[in-house]
Amino acid sequence: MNKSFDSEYIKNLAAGFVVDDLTPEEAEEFRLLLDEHPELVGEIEDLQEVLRQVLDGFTSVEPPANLLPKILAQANAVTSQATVNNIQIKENNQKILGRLPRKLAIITSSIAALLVAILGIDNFRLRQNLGLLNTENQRLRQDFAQAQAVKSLLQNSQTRLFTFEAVNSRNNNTNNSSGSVIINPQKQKAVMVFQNLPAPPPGHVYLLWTVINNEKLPCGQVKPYSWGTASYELQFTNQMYKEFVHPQFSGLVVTLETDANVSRPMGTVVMQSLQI
Amino acid sequence: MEPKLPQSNSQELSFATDEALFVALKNGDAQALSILFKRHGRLVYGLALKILANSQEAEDLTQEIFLTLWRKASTNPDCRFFVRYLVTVTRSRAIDKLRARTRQLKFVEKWGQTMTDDTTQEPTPVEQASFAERSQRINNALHQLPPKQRQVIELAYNQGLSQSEIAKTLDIPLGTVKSSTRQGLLKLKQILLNSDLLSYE
Repeated sequence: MNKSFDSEYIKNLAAGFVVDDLTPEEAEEFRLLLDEHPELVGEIEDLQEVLRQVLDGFTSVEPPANLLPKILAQANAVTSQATVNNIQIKENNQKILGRLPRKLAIITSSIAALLVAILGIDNFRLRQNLGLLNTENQRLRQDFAQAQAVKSLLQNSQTRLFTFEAVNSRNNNTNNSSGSVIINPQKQKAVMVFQNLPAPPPGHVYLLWTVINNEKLPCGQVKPYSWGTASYELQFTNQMYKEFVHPQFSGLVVTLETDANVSRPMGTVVMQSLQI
Repeated sequence: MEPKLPQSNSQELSFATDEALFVALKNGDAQALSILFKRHGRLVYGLALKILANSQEAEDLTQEIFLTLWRKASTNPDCRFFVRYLVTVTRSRAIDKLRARTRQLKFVEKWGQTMTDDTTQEPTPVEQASFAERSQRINNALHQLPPKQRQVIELAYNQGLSQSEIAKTLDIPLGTVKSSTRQGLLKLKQILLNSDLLSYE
């Protein structure tokens, strides 16, 4: 019997997935099974709930009351792109100094061991701060690379620009979205720039389509490295670039779909180019 | 003036699913981060504390995990199974930190008992009663499992041991640890979710 269709075997894989002990082969097999049988999601959610209840039953402590405000403050620091490092090191040093007298009282017999412990904690916090800065640095590099790509395209006379505006509808949180596609079929480069485009809801994707002779042709998924306001280079095939110089080409639309592989738009149009 | 985090105006987020909150997080909604912490902060902190046995380190790890969620929300793949994701990340990072600590500060271990910073707040009477009820329910369910399945689950999630440590502790092959954990979880599902249905009826 094919084990892929054995329900006990599948349940065993689902349990392994939830406790994260699948081998790489099992993980790949389970990923394919999940694609083929979306009803497995219910089994995973049940097992996940069981795991949550087990951990809940083992946990007698509450997180410190000041932990959430600390996390939100740090998140604010990341968002504001402030000089996190200096501020954090200062705060952390003050916190460690605040704990010193008590620790010294307890570990009077070994100042050396205490210093090693403090250096360890300080090093850990410095690494945390370095991680924050690296992430920010990576984001700025991506922004810069996209800005360079846009600049290079705008310098070329063959470049075309299509602007998008939101297609307003009730229950649509993309109503304030807007953007542009800058494309050069000769150079085979295209960059999409947008603002206020929220992440798609769970189980949905944004798809871009060219409109040729009133027919909508797929141009791939709109999947930037971040949501909201960003730009990114579109991954086009040669055929897609040809579509942009097609005599019947009349514009672009972005739709919200539940299936990334649909060959024609099935979902809602969220943005369309102004030429349509 | 320092820029403020984007905040959702809607109270509806409090009733949103984890998946929907994760989408809000991708859109930079700090309210979603706050709600996710209120829902799952205890789970993450509690598990980290069990493994690390140090309240300051558990606090640091909890902070690190939620900040990573915030920083990388827009680039993370969708967290479809959010609790699984949190448990996996917490266990794996806590075990890594424990190993790093053992490697780097081995000679300080003898101070371990003294160094443990027991700043965890005492639970209130209401919290104690709630824990006693949850604990009793899980213990009753666990005692309906075969001994090996019960042991591996307790060692993994109550003692915070890695699978290889469990294999060594119980002197059984790693494969047996894995199969017992999976079978134990499947049996617990029957026991706990059936009792949920019965109590609902």
